[in-house]
Amino acid sequence: MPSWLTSDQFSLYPPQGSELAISHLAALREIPTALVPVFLVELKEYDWKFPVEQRDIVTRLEFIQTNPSSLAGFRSIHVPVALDGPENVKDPQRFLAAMTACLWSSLQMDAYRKAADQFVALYEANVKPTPPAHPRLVMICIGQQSAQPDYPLFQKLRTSGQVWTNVRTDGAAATLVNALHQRSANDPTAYAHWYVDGGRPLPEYQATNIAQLLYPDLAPVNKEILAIMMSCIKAGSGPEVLHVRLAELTRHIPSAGKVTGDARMQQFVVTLLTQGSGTQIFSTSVVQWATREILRRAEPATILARYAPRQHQKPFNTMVADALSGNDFDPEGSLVDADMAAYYSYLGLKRLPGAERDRFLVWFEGHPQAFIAAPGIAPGTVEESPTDMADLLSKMQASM
Amino acid sequence: MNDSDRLSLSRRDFLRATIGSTAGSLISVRSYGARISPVNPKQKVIVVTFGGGARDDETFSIDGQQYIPHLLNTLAPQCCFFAQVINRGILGHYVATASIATGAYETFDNFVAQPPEHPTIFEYFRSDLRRPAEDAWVIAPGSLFAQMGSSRSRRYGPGHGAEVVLPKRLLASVLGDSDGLQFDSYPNILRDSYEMPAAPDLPASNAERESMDSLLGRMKLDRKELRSRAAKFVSPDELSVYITKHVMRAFAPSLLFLTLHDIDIAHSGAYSLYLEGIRRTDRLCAELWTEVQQNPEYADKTTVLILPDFGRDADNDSGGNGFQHHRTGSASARTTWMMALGHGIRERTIVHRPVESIDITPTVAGLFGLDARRAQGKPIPELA
Repeated sequence: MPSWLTSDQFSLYPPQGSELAISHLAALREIPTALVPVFLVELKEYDWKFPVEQRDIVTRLEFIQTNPSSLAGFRSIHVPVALDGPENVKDPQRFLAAMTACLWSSLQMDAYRKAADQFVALYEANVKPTPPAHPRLVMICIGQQSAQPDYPLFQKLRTSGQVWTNVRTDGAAATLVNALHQRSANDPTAYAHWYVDGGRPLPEYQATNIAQLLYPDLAPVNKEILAIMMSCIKAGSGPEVLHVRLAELTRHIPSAGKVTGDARMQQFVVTLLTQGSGTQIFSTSVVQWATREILRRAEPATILARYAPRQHQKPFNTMVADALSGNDFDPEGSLVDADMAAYYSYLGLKRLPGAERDRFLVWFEGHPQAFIAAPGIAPGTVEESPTDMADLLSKMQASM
Repeated sequence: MNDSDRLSLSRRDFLRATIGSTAGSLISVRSYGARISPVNPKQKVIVVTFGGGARDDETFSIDGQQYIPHLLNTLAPQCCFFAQVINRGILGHYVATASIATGAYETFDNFVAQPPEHPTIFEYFRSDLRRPAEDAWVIAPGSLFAQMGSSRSRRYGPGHGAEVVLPKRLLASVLGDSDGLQFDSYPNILRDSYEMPAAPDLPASNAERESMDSLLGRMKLDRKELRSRAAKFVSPDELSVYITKHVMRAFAPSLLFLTLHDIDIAHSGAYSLYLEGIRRTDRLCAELWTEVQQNPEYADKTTVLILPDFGRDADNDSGGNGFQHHRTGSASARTTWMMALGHGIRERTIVHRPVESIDITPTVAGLFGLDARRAQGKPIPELA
């Protein structure tokens, strides 16, 4: 147990995170050392967390304060002396990296995983999550520029919903954008509605009241991160040093200010490009990881995510160097990537509170194939009758 | 039934239908073994890691079968299939591969090139049977694996280890003195690991080139031939298999360990590239098996073991990101399969009971009539 945790140590943390840590010091001291770095990382980033995350961190600390036995599994994990001291508090990312390496090398990762499962089970049994006021809607466009009309789409998804094979393509994209606009106009809560695009946005899109991530706009940040990656690669410092260096970059990328004036969004953009694997080089990886993280962290009401073709595979160093040139695309491979990524977004949506009411749509952009899942929509079925995007959205609405 | 059992059952049931094995061939160690002949003094063993971590979902599951037609249609009907191979160690590629080679869960930093702590199968083999250096080879995907041919053990060590070839370094060395050829002409082959991008230190240093020159000379590998062949390859693993076949033809080593790694492109998050890697690895395994059968030095005396070093994270594991990584330590990441083919193997058999990846070295030792004394794993009775 980290009895060495004191209020003074949090003076270097941002104000809200510091205040929260000091006011919950008793709870933090109940956390076995093996788990402490996870909480310290969250506290150091607290001021830039989304509101849902902030609420969750407070709830977990309060749960631990009243249920310290929920962490019993972590107490049997042996932590070496070097990792069990106050010097680790100031740099929680390095602390976490060192603890992770220690858990693997001491073959305690399985015990850690089991302890985490036990904690989560107890937490979920005692803390009931708040479902959203209205069902969530996730809309995903895949396969831009792909000429594979016969690719067997939605293989992973089809048992969970309905495949439509004769969807009118005229106006389909505009209908999806309008649905996003309408939902954001009805509920202007911050970070509730998102637009993510691996390329330039759809012409109908307007950014009012919408949190947006457009891959081309992230270029200045990506350029700085790629430069750091290249310098690490040239120095031969190894992947762990590279990973820690990238993890430490949160908020310290000056060009993040050029992407957005919102400090939370700046932090989000930087973490997408530093902590996501492949996000620096493939637009498809950025959209997949962004959608996953938006669902997990912001628990939004609406997402419209649109995949653009990624660059072709090349040697890693060349891809890093060429990531911003953007002139050698693989639309067919990108369709396969995005089809799988859409399935992962569906799984991510299903992990959220109120998931049983959520609605999910994937459209093969420019083609007549789409997939929908919502309560009342017959799973594992295929519909060949003609329809349009507005009709699909209303079917999901009507099924509620 | 735990998650590992469920994965195993899924593979077993699918293979039963595919290769036509009957309930009677779903053997257990107590009923009868799959091995049908005693130790052969001419025994040869090839271990192939189906590289870079491959999940059940994209290999032996019902959905995965489309990506492994060669394993399924050509190799499976001739193999003894182990449906549950568990890796309980660190899920990093070098440390896991080294653990397979030592039969003990190594615990060193996966990202630092270093010899393993425990003696390797190559050292038991060469030292105990007094075999020459040319009789044990490792073909490895990158410089991280450069020292896996021998351990830190004082009793054994490099003098008793395997020859280690790093095909990409070998090619880089050849290109370094090339007549106008540039590295950029070989973009697909000189590909780096996505977990460990390489420092752009090509061409090789003089010292390394001298070492590579010596290796090329001993391998009787013609520089021009290597350059022209390599220009046609689409991936590092194709180069590795080419080098492996060359080593087989030049030295006919009794013990060969080939590590394939293309599949690890999965870390970039591109599912299509991960699938391409699996399809290519499937094809390359079949190519190697064909070489074994056609090469008179290997035909009818070689046991081939093919297994992934480990799996990858499950789609539904909230702590991971599906196929992309192998970080959660879940059953999907730890549980995989193995095919045993060739000399002494009872065909069309499926073993459901769990074995561990560290059982490979004691098993291979058993095939040579050796005792892997410091291994933590146990010989697999169906094979050893």
